[in-house]
Amino acid sequence: MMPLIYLHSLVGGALIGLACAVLLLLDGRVAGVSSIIGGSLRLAGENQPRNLAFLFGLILGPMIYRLGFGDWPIVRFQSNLWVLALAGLFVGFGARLGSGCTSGHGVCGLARLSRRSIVAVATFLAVGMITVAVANRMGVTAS
Amino acid sequence: MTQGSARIFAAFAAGVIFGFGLCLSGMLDPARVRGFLDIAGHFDPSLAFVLAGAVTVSRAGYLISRRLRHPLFDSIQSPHSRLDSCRPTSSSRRCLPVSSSMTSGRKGASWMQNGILMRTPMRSRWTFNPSLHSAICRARRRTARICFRPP
Repeated sequence: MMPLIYLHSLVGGALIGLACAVLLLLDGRVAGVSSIIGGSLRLAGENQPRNLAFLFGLILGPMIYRLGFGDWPIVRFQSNLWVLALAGLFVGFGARLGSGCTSGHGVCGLARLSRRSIVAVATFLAVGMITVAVANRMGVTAS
Repeated sequence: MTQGSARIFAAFAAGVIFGFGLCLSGMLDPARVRGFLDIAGHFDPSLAFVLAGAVTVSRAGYLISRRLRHPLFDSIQSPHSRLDSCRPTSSSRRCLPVSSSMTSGRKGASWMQNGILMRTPMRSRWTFNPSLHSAICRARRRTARICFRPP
């Protein structure tokens, strides 16, 4: 039988897909979180109120999770602050350069069978695997 | 509810569902994402389950959206909808993301608006052969059963 933790992942993933479907069907937009955050930082723009509404909902999600399950979701950082800041910089820059992140390319893009998204997902998964392998070699091991 | 506030509500609802799903999936935890990438070490396949669930549902939403002329909360016809010769079966205002260099060159910069490209995805494969394309569109129009008209 499938462990419960994977079932949670599957259902959680389905909800993420549902969120993308809701946004696409109701508003005709792709739920790319990096682009929505990037757009919300622009001071003017017709999408601004909706970007902020999406982000507000995104922050509310974990709070509803806590109400339902009585505990915050687990978040374990295994690096120090400087490494995290540098990694965040890379992620942010790469997401803009690649026109999307895991949500935009991975969930919405793969669902449309977009070639660009398939390339993007394959690339960031492969580079991520290489990075983790190198980090393990350098002694930055997962706990 | 006006259309503007309906669209804001849609974004908000999508955000809540997304945030809750992200928590439930466990992908808020960087250690588990790293676990998926750590194929030679402490491998954690969770991310594969998350992606499988997400892409399946998102794909269903995408297939439904192809049957809509426009998103439910956005009846404004795109100024580019003239370019859309497959209107009955595809949405005339679906905002698909466009890359800065990879896809925009072929389609032309004039199609771009605020970093999004409005185009008909169904066109793409037949663009090189206009007569074949329009023939296929006619056939699609005949076979289209579900066709939502703007209010």
